[in-house]
Amino acid sequence: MLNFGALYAFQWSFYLYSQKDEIRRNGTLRNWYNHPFGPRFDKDSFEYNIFKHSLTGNYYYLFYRSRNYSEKDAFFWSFMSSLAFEFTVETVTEVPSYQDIYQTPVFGAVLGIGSEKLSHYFHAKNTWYWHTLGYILNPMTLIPQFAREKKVAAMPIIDKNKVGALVSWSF
Amino acid sequence: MRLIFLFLLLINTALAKEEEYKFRPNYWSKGLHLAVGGGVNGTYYDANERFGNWGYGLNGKTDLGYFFTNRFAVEWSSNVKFNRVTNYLVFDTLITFGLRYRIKDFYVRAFAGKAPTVVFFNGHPPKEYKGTSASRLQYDGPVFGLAVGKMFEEKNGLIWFLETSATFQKLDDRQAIKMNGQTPVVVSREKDSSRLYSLYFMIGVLIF
Repeated sequence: MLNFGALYAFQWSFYLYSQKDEIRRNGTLRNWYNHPFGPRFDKDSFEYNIFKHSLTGNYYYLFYRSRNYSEKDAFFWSFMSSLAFEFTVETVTEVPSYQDIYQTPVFGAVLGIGSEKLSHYFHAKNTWYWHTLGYILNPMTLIPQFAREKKVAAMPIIDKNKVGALVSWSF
Repeated sequence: MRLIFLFLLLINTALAKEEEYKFRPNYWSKGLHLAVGGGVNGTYYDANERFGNWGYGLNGKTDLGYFFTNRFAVEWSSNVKFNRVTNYLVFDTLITFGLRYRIKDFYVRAFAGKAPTVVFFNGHPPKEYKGTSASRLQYDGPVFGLAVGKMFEEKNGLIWFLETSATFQKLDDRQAIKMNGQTPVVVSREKDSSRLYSLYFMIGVLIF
């Protein structure tokens, strides 16, 4: 859930930044809570529906894989992240799209599996330029494994009158 | 929407339990499987002379299936088809739900769903759209299809398939679209009675 939450926060940040003009023109709070109940087939061209959404799904998949999820688990959580974006983020300006609901995680996983295998192949060649190409194909492996390597630990503190957290970070 | 949530429930169920045995062409393992393939298609356009006759092109498909038994599965699929018809580029997305049944190494599929069909004018609009700002048409309507395929297994465990399928599309609704920046805007909407008949030959692999 922590990984899902981190990706969800990123999705909101990216959406607010990249769609700021569209949000200013057409975004409303009313859209945000009405749109999730009316999904439909969108009218976007293939450059959006096939290429850009597959690329987004590819990064969702690679993110979960880089957090040590199995192939099927990474696919499932990519699906959940994609649904979260379609139904709770993008609804500020658009209704959820049936094409995006399916194609983002499914095409993304297909692309992601290929990217991951090719990235491993490049890293195995063990020269700086092949490593660079490997990281370009799968940049998610650059995100440090904080929790797994026990570099960061957090413990919530909940008392009658206060809520807090104790965080430690080893260097 | 209900079908989508039912499918998500199935995906979740599939992840909760481990597969007991390996998937084989003649004995399917239960649970979630994803197949991806690509190939060629030929489509006959019965579209009131707006754009004509036969189109040929490439297509790619994915089948996300929940396999209930070693013979039977339900599927949620997408088949993206590109066609060149006279001056137009046709981009079709067939989103369908279906059933798959195995007979030895062979399988049959039956599916139905909806298919938005987009026709790009490429600077040559049909007569009735000349002089308008529309750059493409989007048709909507149901799609029905049947498929027959055969699965194979390589020594390294790779499962691959050959499949031939046929679809029938009923285009009930036609919308002319112009682009306003990055946003598609509908400039006119009419009823339509066009029909599409397609044949596909595909090759693909089971990716999990």
